[in-house]
Amino acid sequence: MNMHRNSVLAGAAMMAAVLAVSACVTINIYFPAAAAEKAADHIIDEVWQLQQKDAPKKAEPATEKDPTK
Amino acid sequence: MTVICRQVCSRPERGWRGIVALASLALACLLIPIKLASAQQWALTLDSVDHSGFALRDVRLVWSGGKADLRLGKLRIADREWRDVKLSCGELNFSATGLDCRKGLLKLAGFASLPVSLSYSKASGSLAVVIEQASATSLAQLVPGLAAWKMGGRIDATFELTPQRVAVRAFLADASFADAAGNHAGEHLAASLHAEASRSDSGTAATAWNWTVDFAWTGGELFWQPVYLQAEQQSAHLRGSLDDNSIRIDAATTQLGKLAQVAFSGLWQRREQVLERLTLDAQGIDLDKAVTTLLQPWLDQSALPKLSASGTGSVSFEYAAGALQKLDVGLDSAALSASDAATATNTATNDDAVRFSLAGVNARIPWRRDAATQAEFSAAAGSLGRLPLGALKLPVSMNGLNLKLIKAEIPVLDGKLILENFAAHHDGDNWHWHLGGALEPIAMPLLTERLGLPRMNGVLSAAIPDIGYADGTLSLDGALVVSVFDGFLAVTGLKVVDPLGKSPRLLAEVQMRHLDLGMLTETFSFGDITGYIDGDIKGLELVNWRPQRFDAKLISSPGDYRRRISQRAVQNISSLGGAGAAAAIQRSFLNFFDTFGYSRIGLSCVLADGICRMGGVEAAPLGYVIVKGGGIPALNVIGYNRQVHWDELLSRLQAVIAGNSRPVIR
Amino acid sequence: MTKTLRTLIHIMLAAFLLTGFAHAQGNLEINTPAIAQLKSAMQGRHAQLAPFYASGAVGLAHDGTVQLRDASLVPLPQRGAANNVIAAENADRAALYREIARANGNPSWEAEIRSTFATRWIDKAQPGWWVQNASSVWAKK
Repeated sequence: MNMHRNSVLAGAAMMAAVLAVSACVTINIYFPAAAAEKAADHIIDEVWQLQQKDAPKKAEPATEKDPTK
Repeated sequence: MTVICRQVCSRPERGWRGIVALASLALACLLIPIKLASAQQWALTLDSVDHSGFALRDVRLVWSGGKADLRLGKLRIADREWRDVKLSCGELNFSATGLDCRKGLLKLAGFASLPVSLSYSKASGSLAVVIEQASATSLAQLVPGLAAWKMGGRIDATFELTPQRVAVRAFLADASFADAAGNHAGEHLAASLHAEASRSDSGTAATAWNWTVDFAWTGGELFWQPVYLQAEQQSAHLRGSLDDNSIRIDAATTQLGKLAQVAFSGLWQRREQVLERLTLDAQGIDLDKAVTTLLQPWLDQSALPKLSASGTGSVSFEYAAGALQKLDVGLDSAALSASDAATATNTATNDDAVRFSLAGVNARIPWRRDAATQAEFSAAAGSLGRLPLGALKLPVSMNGLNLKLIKAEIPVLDGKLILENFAAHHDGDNWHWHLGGALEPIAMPLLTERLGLPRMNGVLSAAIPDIGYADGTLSLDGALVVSVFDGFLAVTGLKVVDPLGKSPRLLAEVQMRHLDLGMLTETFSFGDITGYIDGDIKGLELVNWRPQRFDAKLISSPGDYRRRISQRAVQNISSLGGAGAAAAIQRSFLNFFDTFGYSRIGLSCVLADGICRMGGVEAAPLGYVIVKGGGIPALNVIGYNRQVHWDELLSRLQAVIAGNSRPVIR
Repeated sequence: MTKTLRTLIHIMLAAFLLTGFAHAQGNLEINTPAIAQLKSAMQGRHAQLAPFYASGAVGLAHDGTVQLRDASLVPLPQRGAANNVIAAENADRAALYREIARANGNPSWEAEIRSTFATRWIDKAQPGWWVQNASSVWAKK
């Protein structure tokens, strides 16, 4: 009985592991384009000091509200 | 009426003299029709003219009502060929004495026309060509290799050619040039050139010329990546001779504005294509200007230190037989300093930025390839980092590529750096040198204050038996001994591989004996420990001045002395072990005492791969003893964390010294 | 055996959750000391580059660098400094792209990060600055 429960658990665990592994792999393969763009915007704003100096500069994407400064 | 004068020139003499011959020939042809009739229009046609220096094909001259048009089907000068060359003369006068073409225009197929006047005098055999207000653009098109450049400006030029003499006068006004990338460019340039050459009648078969050139740069600015120069009456006067075998500059003097006066002479062998001899003498070099305009732009390209200089200098050298024969360098009341390349973000204070400086520098360095000479170098004062240096003198004996310095003293704060028995030689590939020396005591309070370190007592002194440099490795034979904290610190087997390279590697063995813990702990605000400590760092290896590996051990010195450790020091030692370390004491009991007795203190660290393997004076169950108690009240400090990241250990140490760490005491 | 496996699953789930979390938030790691240092160097340099962008001497290229578009717009005395500042900026930009890729554990992302940046530099350029399209043709924004 105990043996059986253990083996069921092991099987479930194995599947979860496979799932987890495949999930991890999937994330690593594709380039996170949106995240990269956000990171780029963040850095460019800082380098060009777009947020501090001339805030109402141009129509920027709406996602560009970065209150952390 | 049309006269056709068909002729193929016989091979005339070499050189431009042929041009004069050609002019004479044309004139001879021209003279014929004049006698024939006073016609309205006539034409002259020549099939070909061949000469070693140039060739003409399909020559056609048409004269009508005082105007003349000359057409060349093909003109070849040296390797360059032009097709469809036209010369039209607005006014053409010719007589028995000569020919005069005024208001002429020279036009090449596909190019802008060039205003030109020609006159030929039969009596003197001279041909004069005047180019007036020609655009630099059209002139540049005629010169191969300049086609890709953007050119502008006006040129006036006069050429006078006689069988015995050539003279050129040219004036450049408001000229500009630039390559495609803009890395080599000039603007608003004004310059004048006067060159003359005359045949020297030596009677020998070889053609020889004596020439002079006067050049003056009178206006504008130049950028020749990365150097920028402005015209400030730079001028040059050169005199020399030329024959089939050699180009000789007998004397040349140049005034490079306020930068320097340079005189030189030389001999270039044309057949072997070698520089046989060159002597140069540059006097009155304005060091400030030389460094800022000529040297700094190169350093800026690779973000090297900023140099600044003042005073005057001189350089002269003689190059002959394929090698430098002599070199004289002089500096008069010069000052030199190097500071960190200023980055836009760092507005560091000037004091911090200056790495090295010397003031009141005088130098006489007379180097000879095959003779012994004595060089003198002295400075009134200087600085190295934040340390001031006193007056110094370096008398160096030179003999070819062997240099020797018997003794020199450089005052540093209240002490002296003494250099002895310096010897250097070059084996054809590399420099090898070695020197010995000593550091006479510097008061540590003064030194540490200058360096911005915690105030330390004691003195810093060192004996440097022998430092050598060979094969890119700086090595120290014997021991570097520093007397500090009442004991001493000795460095042996010191080697620096590739000291000036990108990642220098330092190897050394360090011994510390009898350091006063009281002084040491006070200096670094580590709490108070009374006693003495010995230490060894074996196999120390730094790469890029950061520890890579070592085997270090600190342990209390043997002997009979008072051993007390303060509560704060205990807590700090415990903190070094991080969360895993613990002091085996009861906190409540501990609180009653300020200091405790100990019998031994010790800590060891074997660093490899960024991890420090820790140990103490002896093993304890599951850990190691850092402080072994003794006397009353006694206490033990035991570490349980055997492996600590080096970076973490460093930051803990910094936190302890900064006084903001809290040990975890269990 | 089961215990080991369970631990393994926990670690993997944790890893999955953490990565997923970070991913869902859409954040790349850009707060390393190396990136901060590059950013501040570039920020300081911007004051020197801005006039060149405005005059059109320097433009934003489609490969994520800055380029000297028209040297004749830079007065001769400043031309050497302009070349140096452009070289320094491009060195820092290359290092920035490499560092971001590395900080996120994927050095192979460098080229994609570079091209993302290239697009964003150009999109965020001020009107009047010169930018390069995909076929290397310059145009004024």
